[in-house]
Amino acid sequence: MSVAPASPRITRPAVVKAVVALAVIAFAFALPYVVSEYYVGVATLVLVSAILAASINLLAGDGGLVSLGHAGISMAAGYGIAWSVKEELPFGVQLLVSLGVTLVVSAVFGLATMRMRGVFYLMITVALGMICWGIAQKWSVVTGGDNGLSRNWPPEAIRPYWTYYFVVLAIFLLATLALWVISRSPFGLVLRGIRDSESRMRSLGYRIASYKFAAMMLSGLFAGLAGVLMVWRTGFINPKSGDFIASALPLIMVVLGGLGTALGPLVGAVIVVLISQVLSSYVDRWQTVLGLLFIASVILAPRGLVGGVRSLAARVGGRIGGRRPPAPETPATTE
Amino acid sequence: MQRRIPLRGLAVLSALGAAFLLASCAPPGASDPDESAPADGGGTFTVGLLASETGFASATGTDMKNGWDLYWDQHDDTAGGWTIESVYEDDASDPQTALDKATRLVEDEKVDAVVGPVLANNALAVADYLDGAQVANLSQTSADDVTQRKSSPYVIRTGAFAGSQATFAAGQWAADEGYMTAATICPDYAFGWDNCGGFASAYLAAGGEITNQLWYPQGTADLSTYATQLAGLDVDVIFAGTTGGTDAIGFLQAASDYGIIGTTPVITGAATTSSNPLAQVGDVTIGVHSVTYYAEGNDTDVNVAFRDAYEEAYGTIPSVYASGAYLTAQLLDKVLQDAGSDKPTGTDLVDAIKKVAPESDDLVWGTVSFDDYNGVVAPLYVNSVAKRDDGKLWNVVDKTYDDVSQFWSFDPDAWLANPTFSQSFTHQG
Amino acid sequence: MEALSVIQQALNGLTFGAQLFLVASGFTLIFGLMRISNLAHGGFYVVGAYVGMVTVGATHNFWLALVAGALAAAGVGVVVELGLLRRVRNKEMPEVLVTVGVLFVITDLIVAIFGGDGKTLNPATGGAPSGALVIGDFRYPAYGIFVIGVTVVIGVVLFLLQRYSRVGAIVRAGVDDREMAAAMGIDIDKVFTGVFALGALLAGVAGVIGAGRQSLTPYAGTEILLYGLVVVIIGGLGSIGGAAVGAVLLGLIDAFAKQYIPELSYFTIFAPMVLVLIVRPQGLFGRVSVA
Repeated sequence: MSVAPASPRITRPAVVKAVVALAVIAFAFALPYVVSEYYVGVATLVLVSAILAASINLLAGDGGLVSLGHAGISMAAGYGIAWSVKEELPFGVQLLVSLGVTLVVSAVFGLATMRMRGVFYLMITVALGMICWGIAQKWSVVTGGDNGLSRNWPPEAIRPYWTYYFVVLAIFLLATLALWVISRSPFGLVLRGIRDSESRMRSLGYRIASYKFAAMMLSGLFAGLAGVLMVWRTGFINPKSGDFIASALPLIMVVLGGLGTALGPLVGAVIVVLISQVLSSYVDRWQTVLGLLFIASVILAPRGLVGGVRSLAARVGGRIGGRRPPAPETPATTE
Repeated sequence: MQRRIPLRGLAVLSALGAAFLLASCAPPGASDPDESAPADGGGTFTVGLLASETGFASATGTDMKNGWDLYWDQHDDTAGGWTIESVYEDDASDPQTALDKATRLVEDEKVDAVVGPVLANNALAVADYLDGAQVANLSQTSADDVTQRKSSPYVIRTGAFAGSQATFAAGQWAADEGYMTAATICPDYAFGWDNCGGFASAYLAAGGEITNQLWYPQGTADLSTYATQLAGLDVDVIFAGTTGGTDAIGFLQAASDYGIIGTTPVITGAATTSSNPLAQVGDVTIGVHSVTYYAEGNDTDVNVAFRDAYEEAYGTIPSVYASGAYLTAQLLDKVLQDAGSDKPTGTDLVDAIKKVAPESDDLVWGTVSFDDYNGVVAPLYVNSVAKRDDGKLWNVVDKTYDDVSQFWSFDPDAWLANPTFSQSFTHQG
Repeated sequence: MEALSVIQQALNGLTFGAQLFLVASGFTLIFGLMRISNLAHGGFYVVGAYVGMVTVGATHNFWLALVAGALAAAGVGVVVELGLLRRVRNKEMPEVLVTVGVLFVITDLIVAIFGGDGKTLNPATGGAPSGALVIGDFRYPAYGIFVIGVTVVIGVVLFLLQRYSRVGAIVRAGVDDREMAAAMGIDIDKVFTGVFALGALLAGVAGVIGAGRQSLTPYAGTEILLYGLVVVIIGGLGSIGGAAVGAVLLGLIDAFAKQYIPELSYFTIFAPMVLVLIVRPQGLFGRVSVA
């Protein structure tokens, strides 16, 4: 955590940051007016994926807890809303149903993982994710099975593709802010403590399991949010939204973008979605490209693109301009 | 540190405000869905091909593409006074991707019609979208509801039979052959339910009795435990409706290993005896029966010509998916020949196809027509696996059932009032 | 005949269990020593399987295919360990993430080279046991018996290696206390690479054998990896014996569930896993602490 600088704010890195930020914001707002529906849809996909990636970022960046089953939670929320739309429930009830499903599934995830760490945490979440997928496949009366459910639209007012894009943009900004606040809060501090040394935190009297459970619940809320937004984007959901790849991709996004950073999920989402949606029209082997990029990022740029750019900017700018992101490596303690 | 929060929060909030304001302003050209009317560059008809080129269904996508390309290669990409332009997109065997690519085809490439997808869940989602976008969908899928409960005037099934439609004749044939008890085995999801549902509906209507129905989890490649169960049953005939992928190979192999082939007659859906499973499992499959709407061993003139040309171009025996795409191209050609200078799109295209089909006698499937729900009506063949002179295995026709509709002998209204096939609803009537 | 059917299903379960043991043993070996959760294991499986398939096609010799597949998988494993994993040594999360990336790349490359549709490796054409073992009414594919046999042999060899050989002692020391073993002058780097290669080799063998029984797709490795993970959770990470027990248990449960409760057969593999997690989270024979 860095100390607030005493000298004046107008430094080169700060100016560069502000200009870049303005450019990005202007681009984001102008988008529907300059590109076709397809690309606006892609941009919406980026934003929704970024929210899911951000939910994983909370657990993995601050807590050191890697979940490879989070798509199970977002898929469950998605089915909650889809089923409610199918049953023609009032909009408020639809939201309550999907919220309820999100809470229940997150709680199950939380209970199963709160006493685990590291690799075990990861393996349990893989299994949990696959269980969710299995339920979606088999419970066809509710989920439509493999064929999925279609025509699950958001309320008419936000349904047009450009309106929906702005709504998602707004929600994304709010979510990012909320996650940033959580991360800066005492709760976030405890999480990072747990990540760095569980035994020390335990000896300080913290109930590790409760914190892990709470972190999973919070993370699950954002994952559920992403799940609902994802369904509304195309009106369609099917079990593929919760399979292993669906859980792996947001993790890849976070790592590529920068684990533990506020904007990492967005940057990662842009990269991954561009590769999987746009590059795929021209290159057959895009998955290899993505995999190689991912490996390279993990080995060469463990702080992801955001972290890497930050250190680069710091060196170029001549002074540290901004909070340094926390190092994502976990020490290899034998406990 | 404390001073940063208000600044950041302020920035976010003002951004939000702007977002909400802008949300009310529509971008130019967004109001009218089909105002993205195709640029009519002097007689070009653009077709979007949405196939699974990657992912687990990639074999079907390749076949579909090959069948389509073969026809237009034979006809120099022209039909009447029109030039055919094909745009290819890969749906990666994934429905979300399929939807996104369909949007791209319609919005960016401005296609006049979309052919495909093949995969049921992809196709249902895409058909829905194309119905809303008012673009014709020449569907290649077997999902029943595309021309039943979710039918649309923009969607017509020109390249496939409905899942249950494709297996009716197997039930009839089993009863005709005097096999009075049967067991079925199908994957436990929509495709399997439809396949077994078709067999069961026709078989029971013809007086047969089904003693056991086995359902295996989708994606299972190892069917040994199921084969063990089947081998222990005492039935006259076994029906298997695998997806044609690893489960087809698994079923045929296990049926041979556990002594089913050779002791009990086996009849399968088209996918199980498609060329890849046959080639992979080999000679032990000889004698296995199947019901298909395309039999590569059929020796009508049209089919021999198609098959020879296909083998010369691609080196493999054409599959059901290839023939469906070829048929679609044939129908489109005939429509455009008759069209004059008015480009037929949307519902006009669909209606034109329905009109031109019964009048044609050179379609690769034989006599083809369409019903009120835009489902195809065509012959079904019951075949046996045999060995060709050059050693390759294929399906040879034993018996033909003409004019099979998606409702068989059942009343369409009663059928549609029933739920879709599932583990709890396994046959009509 | 009820009893016959039960025996046949039990054999089905044991055969599948044997395959699971081959997959799980390699995984648990790597984890036990290096604390790496090697999700690329599924990738080594398919590399072995496809190389084996090509070899059988070309040489009609199953045994050669087994060797070729095993060596190919081991080779890829060595490359991954030396080239990639060593750069992130001792960093738990990056290690896992690298293996995820490797799995992605291997799967896609296999799709690129072989296509996504199902293929078989026909062991009969290569001289492996084929046809069926027939005793009266009882009938069981000979290849299945072969799989069980081979796996038992491999399991015994692994056990003897671990318990009685010098290499085994070194590995066991490394599992118990890495730093101490290194301090004693053991070239821990070489041991790591060796063990990783052995784990990958086992995955390759599992792949070739599995391809003879179930048809093969580029995703086959990822699918069986999930079962393998459940087996090691049940048996305990780092324990070969645990992997054996877990594999047999899971195989039997799977076979009988498919017969008696088919609608739930997908979920039955998770039931013992959940039970173990509640009662004894480190697994039945696990020696690595969990939390």
